[in-house]
Amino acid sequence: MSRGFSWFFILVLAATALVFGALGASHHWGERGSNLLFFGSWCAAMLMLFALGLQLPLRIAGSRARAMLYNAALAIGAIVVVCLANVAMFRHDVYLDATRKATNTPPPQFGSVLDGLSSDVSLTYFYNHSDRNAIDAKDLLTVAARQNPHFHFSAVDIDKEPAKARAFGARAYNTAVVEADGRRVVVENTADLAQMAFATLRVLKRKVDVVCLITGHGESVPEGPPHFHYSHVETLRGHETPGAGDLLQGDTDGLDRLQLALTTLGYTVRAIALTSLSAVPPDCSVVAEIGPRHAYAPAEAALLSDYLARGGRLLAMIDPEFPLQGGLGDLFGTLGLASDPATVIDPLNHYGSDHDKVAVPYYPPHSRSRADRVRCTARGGGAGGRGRRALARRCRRPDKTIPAGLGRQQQLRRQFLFPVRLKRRSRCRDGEVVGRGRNEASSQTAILQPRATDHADQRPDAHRVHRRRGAIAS
Amino acid sequence: MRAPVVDVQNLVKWYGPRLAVRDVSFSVAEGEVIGLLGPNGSGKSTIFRILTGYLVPTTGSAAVAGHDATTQSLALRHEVGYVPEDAPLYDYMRVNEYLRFMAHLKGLFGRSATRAIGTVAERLQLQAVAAVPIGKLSRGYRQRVAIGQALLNDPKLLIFDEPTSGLDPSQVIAIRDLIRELAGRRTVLMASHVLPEIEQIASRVMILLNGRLLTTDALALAVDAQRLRLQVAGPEPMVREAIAAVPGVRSIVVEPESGGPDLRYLVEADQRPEVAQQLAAALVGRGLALSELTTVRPDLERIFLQLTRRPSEAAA
Amino acid sequence: MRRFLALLVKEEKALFTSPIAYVLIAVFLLIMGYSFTLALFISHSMTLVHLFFQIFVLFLLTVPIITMRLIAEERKLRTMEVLLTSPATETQIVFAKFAASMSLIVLMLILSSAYAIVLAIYGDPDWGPIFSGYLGLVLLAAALVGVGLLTSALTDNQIIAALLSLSVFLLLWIIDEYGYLLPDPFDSLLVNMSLSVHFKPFATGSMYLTDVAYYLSATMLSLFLSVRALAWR
Repeated sequence: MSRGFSWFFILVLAATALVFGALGASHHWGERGSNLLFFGSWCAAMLMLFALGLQLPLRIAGSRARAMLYNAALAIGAIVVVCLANVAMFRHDVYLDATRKATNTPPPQFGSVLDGLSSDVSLTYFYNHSDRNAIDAKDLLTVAARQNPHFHFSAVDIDKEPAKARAFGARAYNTAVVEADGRRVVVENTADLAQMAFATLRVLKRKVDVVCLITGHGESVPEGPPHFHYSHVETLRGHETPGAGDLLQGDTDGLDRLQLALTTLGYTVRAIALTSLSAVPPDCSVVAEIGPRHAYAPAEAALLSDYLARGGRLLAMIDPEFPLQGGLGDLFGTLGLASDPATVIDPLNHYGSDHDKVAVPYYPPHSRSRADRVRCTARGGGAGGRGRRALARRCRRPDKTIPAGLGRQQQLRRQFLFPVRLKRRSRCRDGEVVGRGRNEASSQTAILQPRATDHADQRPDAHRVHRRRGAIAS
Repeated sequence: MRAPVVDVQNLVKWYGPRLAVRDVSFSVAEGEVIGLLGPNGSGKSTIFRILTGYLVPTTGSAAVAGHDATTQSLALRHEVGYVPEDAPLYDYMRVNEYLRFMAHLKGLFGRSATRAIGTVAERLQLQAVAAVPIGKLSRGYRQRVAIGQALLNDPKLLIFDEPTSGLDPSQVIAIRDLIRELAGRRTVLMASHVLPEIEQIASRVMILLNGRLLTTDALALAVDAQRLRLQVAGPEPMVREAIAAVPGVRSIVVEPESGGPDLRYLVEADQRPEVAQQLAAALVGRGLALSELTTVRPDLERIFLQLTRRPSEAAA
Repeated sequence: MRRFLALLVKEEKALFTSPIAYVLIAVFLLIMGYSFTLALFISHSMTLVHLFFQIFVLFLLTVPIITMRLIAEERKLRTMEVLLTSPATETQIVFAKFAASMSLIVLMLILSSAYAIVLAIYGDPDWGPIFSGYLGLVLLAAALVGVGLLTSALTDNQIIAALLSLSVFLLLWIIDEYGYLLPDPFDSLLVNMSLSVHFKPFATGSMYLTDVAYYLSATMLSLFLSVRALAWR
């Protein structure tokens, strides 16, 4: 290769590196696209430096010591350049999962939790090296740690380092210890990254949020922990069969399941009876009215109204077979909401042949809630138009969580645990969260579940929202 | 005056703590055949490696056909055909494959390569072994192949480092004749520690010792004296007396291998052309039969020994 | 370029006229075939992940054998003097040797693709991890050959060259095992120097561009240093 051609080649590489670098820095392509462009730029730059290095004189006249110094300086320089280049690449890494079913990508629950991290979380996984599931979990956690600078992961083979396991309080195989800000959550015997995601949410909660479930109107609120029952093994040999008298933990369903999910997320669940209270307890982060069958007394409704007026948050799940009535009906009426008697039928998922015996075989997203159009907004204060535009961009994207709030002044924060699907036509507007069904005249419940983040010190200004728009806010 | 093909000025080369070449300066004009004489470790190979671009000097300069050995090494290598000591070759290649490979390295491709290989093979009589793996060749043929690769691109300068080392007498003669033949229009630099070989091929002899150049023309050092060989029949004392009587005669030695009635005498005398005539006249005048009177070339061995005993002497 | 090609052809001839290449290929295929069959019968899984890890280890052991003679042998036989007094440059010589060695390794990998074909005939393997595994092996091999070439350029003794490169490879293989003993940031520095840490994701179907960058930069660095080592005389 002639010298002239070599220099031409170097110039082409330099130009390529600059072009790709500039394109990557422009951020038009999203983070992933930008990082891919940076990688292209990196390759061109490294090739250029390599070619330049080969152009340097191979030998110089003079003493052997002088030649040695010259070569040593070049070698050290090359090593330093390579190290810096690798560090630069780490800051713009791109992960590609080549598997057909994305089995090397952590589950979306885990991913979304990590994406929302703004402070450091460390997870130490004490795994059983003979457990394939544990090793897979370890590998996925390694992948997750590489992509998230705030997530620090270390894996410890519990058999090789038992002392370390004891120091961490890990007594069982496959124990995940999640730590953040001096707080610690331990999950034993798990290879499920979703469980670890929940543990991460729990550890990030600086204060305990209490979900108060209203009782006294026929709600089937569980009184205590998930119930137990005796097994009943039906065989021809009857009750003499071994295991027939064993105590088993019953499967959780219904509100048991909701309670379990809430406690997994780090909430404390407490039942309250409005009739015996003079006010809704101030430590209730959310009050939930789930499936009331009897009417509210006016006093109860007044308590609830006061609570809402103080900026409280209410989740109401109304069975249309027991439509809003009495005090509750009146309260909701002032918000512009009502429910007509109806029966929920599900031709797809039901028990037996009764369409009205609705079964819920899986949890979010349910097709019913998918049909809802949810407008999502947040108040942009100091950030102004730019903040609103940024929010608008985000809101249009489906499965995107709503940002925690923009601007320096009053912020309306909307917290979502599971992404709410937004139709592309959704528009974002300042100041409210509304749930609206297909029929504008009828009201609809939008289930918006709170996400546990460390922003709990800033409370949403739901008071102003609901008074202005009659929205159900979380 | 044309620029010298080789121009070396104040060349110094250190190998770590060892000074291999000490302040060597010489130049070689086009068409000269230079013999570089010196014992093992005197710096001959080092100088050649600098002239072929393999090494760089510590200080000083070396240039071949105007290309500096340090800064223009690549261009310099186009001008030099180098045959290292012991003819290192690739044993797994056949002769024609090797010559083609070297032709490509020297920038000859396609038809020009084929032509060059054909010319070289014919010159060095390698056609018979063209398809033979080099590992199976005799030392003589290996040396020919090594010389062949040096000739492919018809370089300005040929450098041979101990070309007859390890060869049998017939091979030595063959290689020597070959080099003499090649030297016709090319400049040749040849290193050896075998005196007769240098004597027979070189037009100029340089002597190296311990990295220092003792002389750039050893043969010219003997100009102050001439040596004559005489074959005379007669009693030795009488012959000696007659020879000694001629003015300018310095020494008379009877050659050991001479015997019988005619003895051969080696006479060293002043460098005057009339000495030979005077000797003939003196011997004939005394009635002695003179059957041979010849001038003998300077004795390189003697010069070498003379110089190497007095290493401080160096001719310009 | 033509000189480079001439050197490359010469290197290929040197490699494939010697029995070393054939013995290496035979041993490689024997071990891989046994390993593949065993893993298939035990796990019944349509993956080549364990095979890739085996090839990883095999490369650490065999690349020193391939590369030890590259420059050290020529220095010993003094044929390097002939090369370096011809118009060929050190860069061309190093690149030709690198390319020839890589061609042998790529040939071995192509032959090993027979296992992937077997999987395809009898099942429906996930091709993503297979392609990423092979990519990882090629990148790994390039870095190993580069380092092997460098150690060969540092000495004229083939055994020393092989031992040096083998030591470096083994060290870089296990270096992450002891990373936890060191304080931050040295622990992550050690972990990120490990050959296996950067190879594992490729074998399982994950690809990080940082891993690609690691191998590419290691290859370029070792080739650059090899050129300088060859020029040092």
